[in-house]
Amino acid sequence: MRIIKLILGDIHFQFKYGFYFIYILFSALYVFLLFIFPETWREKAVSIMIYSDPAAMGLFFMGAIVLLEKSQRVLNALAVSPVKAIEYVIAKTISLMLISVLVSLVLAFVAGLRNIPEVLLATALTSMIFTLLGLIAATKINSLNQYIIMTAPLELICFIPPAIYLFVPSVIMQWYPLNGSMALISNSSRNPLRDITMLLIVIICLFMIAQRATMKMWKSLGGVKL
Amino acid sequence: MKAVYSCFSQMIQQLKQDAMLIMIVFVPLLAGTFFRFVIPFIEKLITGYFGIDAILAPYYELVDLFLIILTPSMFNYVAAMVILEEADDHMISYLAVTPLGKTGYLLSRLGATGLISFPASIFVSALFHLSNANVLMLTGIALAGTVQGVIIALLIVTLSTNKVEGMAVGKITTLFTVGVFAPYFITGKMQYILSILPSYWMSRAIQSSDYLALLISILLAGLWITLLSKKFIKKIAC
Repeated sequence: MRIIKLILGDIHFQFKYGFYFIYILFSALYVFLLFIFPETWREKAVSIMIYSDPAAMGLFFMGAIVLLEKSQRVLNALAVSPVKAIEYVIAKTISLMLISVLVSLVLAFVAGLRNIPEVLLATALTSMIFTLLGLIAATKINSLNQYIIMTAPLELICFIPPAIYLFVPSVIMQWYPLNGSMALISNSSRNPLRDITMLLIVIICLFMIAQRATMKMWKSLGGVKL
Repeated sequence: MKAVYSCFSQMIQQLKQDAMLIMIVFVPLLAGTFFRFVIPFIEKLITGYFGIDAILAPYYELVDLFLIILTPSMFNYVAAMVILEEADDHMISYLAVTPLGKTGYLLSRLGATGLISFPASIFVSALFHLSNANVLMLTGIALAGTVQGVIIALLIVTLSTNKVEGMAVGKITTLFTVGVFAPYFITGKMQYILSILPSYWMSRAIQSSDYLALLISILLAGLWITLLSKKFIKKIAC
């Protein structure tokens, strides 16, 4: 199937450019940090680690991935192939989600979390959100610095409320979807089903925006609007 | 020198177009405000939550260290991204055969950035520092931080061959600052494992007002820069 080949292609790309190596290195660092933290800090610390790094990796790397694909003319090839924009978006999302889930599994296991399935599900959903946001931003840029500027406000919106919510879980803030993600990871969700549903709704909306943005980018490749 | 200045101006123009110039000016100030006002507030929150007298307060010197390192690191990261773009577009090879030369190119991108980030770092630390470290020490740390920023940029551009690798190496270079934790959290001789990193000596310097450690940090960083510059210039030649 075409989608499987696209996913495998992306995994190969990520392996070649050292994503797996980096995350082995960072997992080791995080495990080391978890061991030196006092036990009372561990659960909060691992929640912040999982949410801010493996889950958010798509937002960090997507600009460089898309720009490299542009400069290597990969996107031009994809644009004239039978591959659909939605398949391209799904492949990116799933392949990066795999690394996120693997790293969070290691961290959750080391930290002795009891809600590992919930953590993995929340990481997978959060990873999809960050990758889709990164992809949407990446379709509109021409340089890495532009991408950094474009994603800076996204980072503030995506990281600060969940970090506050982890320590001050006010009732009103529970309706912010990414706070639901943090609550699921830190095992403090008041209503897991509601939090998962909110995340899924956000993902569906972002998928639609990302597909349109990718289509638009493919149509304007090479400086000419098709 | 004129060629270096001209090449540096061209980079500034490029950053201006991307609005990165505004970002470079405002982010250290925003970060400084966060460090100066939000961290003590978080300290209040978490001490209340855990019922302990002080959690972050004993590490305010470490917080200052991060604040001082942040400005040059950010400036040099931006310069590294520009170099990566130019490497991908094969611009460096063209620039290297102009009167600018390879060393001139490196000076225009990282040397000039370092010259600007040093006073910026002093300014930010003077405005927003939390600890009681004296001005001379903070200035020394700003100098060491500036040199370390150049190392991080050199590591990114030397060890990567394209943008994606550049981002990946950029992430790994954050480990270069791990040394700052050693004097505070690793007891005994084990901490010397990280003594190869200038950040370790910077942390020791600010922790115990040790000017010798500061000097070691700057000399060690100079050694890193010499080795990496040679490697980068060799890479351009290929």
